Amino acid sequence: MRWTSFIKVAVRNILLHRGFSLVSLIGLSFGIALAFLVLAYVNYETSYDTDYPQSENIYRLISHGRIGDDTISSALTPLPLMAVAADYPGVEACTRMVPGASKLVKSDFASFKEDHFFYVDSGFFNVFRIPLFLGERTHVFQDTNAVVISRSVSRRYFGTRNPVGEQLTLDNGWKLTVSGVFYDLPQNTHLQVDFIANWQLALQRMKTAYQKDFDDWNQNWFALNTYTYLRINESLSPDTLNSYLQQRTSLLSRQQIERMSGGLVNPDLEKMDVNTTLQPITEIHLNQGLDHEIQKGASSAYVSVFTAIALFILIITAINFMNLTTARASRRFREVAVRKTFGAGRRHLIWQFFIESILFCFLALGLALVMMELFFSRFSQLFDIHMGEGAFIQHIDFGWVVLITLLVGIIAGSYPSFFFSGLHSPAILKGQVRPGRSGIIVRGILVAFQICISVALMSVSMAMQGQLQFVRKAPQGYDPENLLAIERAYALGNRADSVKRVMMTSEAVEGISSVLYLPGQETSIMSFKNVTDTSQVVLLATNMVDSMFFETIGAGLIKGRLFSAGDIHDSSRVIINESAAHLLGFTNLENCKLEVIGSGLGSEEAMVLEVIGIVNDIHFESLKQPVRPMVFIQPEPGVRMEHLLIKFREGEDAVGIKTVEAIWKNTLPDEPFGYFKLSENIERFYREEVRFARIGGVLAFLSVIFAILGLIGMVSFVVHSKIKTMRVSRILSASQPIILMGTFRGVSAYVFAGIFSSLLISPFVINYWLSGFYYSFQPSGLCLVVPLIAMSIISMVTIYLVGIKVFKIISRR
Amino acid sequence: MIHTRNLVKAYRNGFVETPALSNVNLDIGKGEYVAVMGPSGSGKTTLFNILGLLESPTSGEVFFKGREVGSLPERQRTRLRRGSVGYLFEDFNLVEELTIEENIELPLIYQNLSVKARKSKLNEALERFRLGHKRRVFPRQLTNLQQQTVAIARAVVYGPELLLADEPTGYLDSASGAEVMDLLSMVNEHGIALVLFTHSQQEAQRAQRIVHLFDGHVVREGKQDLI
Repeated sequence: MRWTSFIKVAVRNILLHRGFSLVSLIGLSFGIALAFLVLAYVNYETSYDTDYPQSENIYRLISHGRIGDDTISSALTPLPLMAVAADYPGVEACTRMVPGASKLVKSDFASFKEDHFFYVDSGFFNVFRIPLFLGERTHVFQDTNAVVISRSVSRRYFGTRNPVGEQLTLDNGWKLTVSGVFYDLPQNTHLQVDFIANWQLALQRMKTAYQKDFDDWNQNWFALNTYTYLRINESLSPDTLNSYLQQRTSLLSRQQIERMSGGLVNPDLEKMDVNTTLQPITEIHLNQGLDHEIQKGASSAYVSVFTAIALFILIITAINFMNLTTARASRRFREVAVRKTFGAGRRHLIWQFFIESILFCFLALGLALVMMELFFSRFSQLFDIHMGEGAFIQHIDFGWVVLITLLVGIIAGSYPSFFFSGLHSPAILKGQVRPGRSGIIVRGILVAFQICISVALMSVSMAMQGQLQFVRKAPQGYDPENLLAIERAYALGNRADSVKRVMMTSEAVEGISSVLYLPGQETSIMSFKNVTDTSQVVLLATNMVDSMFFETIGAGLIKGRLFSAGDIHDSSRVIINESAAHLLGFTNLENCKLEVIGSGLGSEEAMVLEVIGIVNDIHFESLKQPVRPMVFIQPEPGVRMEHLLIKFREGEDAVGIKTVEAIWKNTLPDEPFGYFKLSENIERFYREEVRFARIGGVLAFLSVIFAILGLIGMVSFVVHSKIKTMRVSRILSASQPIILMGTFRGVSAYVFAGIFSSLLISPFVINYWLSGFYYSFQPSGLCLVVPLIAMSIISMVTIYLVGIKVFKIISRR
Repeated sequence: MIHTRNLVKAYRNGFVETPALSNVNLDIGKGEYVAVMGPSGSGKTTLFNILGLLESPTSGEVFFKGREVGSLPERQRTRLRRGSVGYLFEDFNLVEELTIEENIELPLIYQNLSVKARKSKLNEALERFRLGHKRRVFPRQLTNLQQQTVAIARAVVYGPELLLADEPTGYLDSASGAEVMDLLSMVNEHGIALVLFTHSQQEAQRAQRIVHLFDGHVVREGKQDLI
């Protein structure tokens, strides 16, 4: 009954003071909605790869090592590693995975360009235990040409018919038979797989490509070319397996070095080392930093920041609710005093206010859930977050929602509970109690804290925008404007040169080039020996480009010359970038040569490449990283050149795209024309930063709103506590501004304390964020001064307007 | 019923100490009707609070049913007054958010009574003070007289042995005031000791005994006819 009485009073209070309750309710709902949206995102990011049965027993093997002075940290592993792992007792299943290149896939009914194609060992389904919709897990790879496809792929290619036994044709002419269909994998997995083909098929192709060197390739511990996953028994300690694998890898790679050096001491080979570590798959997504990831993950730092932001929002929301509840304390004084007089103990009153606050929070939760459902897609869009299909409700755990709301209710109710229950009833009944000095100090500190955070967020947000402007406008080492990349250029085959010539006849086209990797794509890494200094072994990013590449992309020659179109000797010559020249110490190009490590160990001669030119650094990666030392090689005949890079004349890109598309379709009528603008690739580099900056901006705005709410609470509270002085001043004919100035001098002090204390935080946070970039701008003082002035104006206007309003209301009463 | 011995109460505000009561000795018997009179600042409210176990004296003793209660901590005083003392205020002090029946029932919810017992007491009070037809309305919908009637019903609903009334007719016109005084007399006739704090000589004359306070001292005390 006591509980129902408390609830009844709470509901009546809400209804009786509708305006005030609405402000509190909206503030609370908004805070809860925003915090839960952010937490839903955090939950999504942290739940990556947890949907596989017993996902805690699935591990990926990753590689560490060194070549010369360079260290290797890669998600790829050597091919022979799986066999070593598979032999260990307690390892239940293993699989290797090699991603297939982007390819055109055709069925009798449809054809699409596909990116999520993998070759896997037969143990794949035993490792991941992905449920099959059609087919038997143990039989799907009985045939070398078998392929298992996802349900969405099945629908895309075969509609509603049973695809098992149907054929899919790849653009290289291979015909694969569908042997099974698996349920679509969730969005939150690092394995975005649609086609799973048999490893044996890839092996056959490699045998053809490598011929007599196939065994060397297949047993090479220094070529990182496959992803290796394994499922272990619960009784097997990962540490034990780790030690075993490290020991075996070390031994077997040393044995290979000995074989390679023929038993002689070779200082170059002594500098090579490769080792392996187990990585739980549930940790892959948030532990980026490895080269060659299948999918770019998220930064764990950002996820931590988002968690902190959500908690911060909840705490601020609760604080504001406290402030608003106790700001109009005098309205509740009588009730509290009567209850105390008639026998309510402190405990009863504490409970009463806790229940009220919790009830209010759950009401706000109801409203928040509606808001979340309404704004979920907008939120995902605004912050560029992909949480998959469906409503918000599908992404949250209601147990947590209830628990967190309860906690917010308890935090929000804590101060009112102890504040009201500690009041002295006789004094209240005689009207002698008004909010005291300690209440003002507590509120002042809270308001100062909120204002400090708001100003800091505004400053950080401005700095983020500044840095994003900087990275967009910073010289990339080439001109990304009007550059178009046509995908799957290898489909042109031996018609590539004639097509390029036809395209060049268009007035819109300024230049055209064949290239393997473009800025924004991960290049391959090769190890080289500086022939002039034989002790120097370096890792260089390696790209294949034709003779027109540098002119087309707009890179500048610093020394030497570029490739000549007609010079057949240029196939054994290379061009390096400035960073590579610096690393290798090549100040002039006389007798500068690089030997490809690993070549010439068999019957063939070592591959030595002459450096003929140095070009300026081109940013293939974002400005978060330094430019990698890079070597450009001309392609050998038969190498699949992925892209055609086309430079259009200024303002002619729209016409140019139409022209080249027409030429492409004329040449390859059955091949889809895929392209992207290079400038869009630069934007992709900073997707996470743009998202973070956008969230920062929204949070800065919200924190200002919260700070204003806090300020409203404090001003109301101060007016209540100083009403007598204000009335006396009024009677003594003091003007309104004088009265307000006298009353709110203290409040202003807290406001300015908050504003100026942000100067201690903002530079630190800005520098921390900028430290994630190798190239960053120098934030100007405006980033600090503008938010400071803006918040000062907002605060003063709020104090003035709310002060007048509350004073008038109270005076009337 | 309740006795005070050498009761002293002083309030401290910073370095300034203001005496409110000095050596007050008072005996109020079971079922007695006593009026406490005095001008503003004479210490009536302080005495009301101490007799009502709402405050502790600075020194001296307060005995309630033979037990010294002046020095009891707040929690024990709360427990003690929960069922034994009723209060009536000048401005009624009804809770605006509660209906009439909820206001009357309010003291009962802090006593560990069964719902049935609580409802029974509530209905009895509503009937006794003829408030049944108003049970579901809110205080702001009532006249001042009705509000004070509700306050009386709330003060006696749990059957206290002592009722303290602080200027119960201050907000009422004379006719309404007389009705309230009648109700209080009726309450007293049911055996509840009544201490009336008032300015009004006329109202005080209804009491069996009058105590005059001035500057915190009992300056006169005696039977009605003797004063």
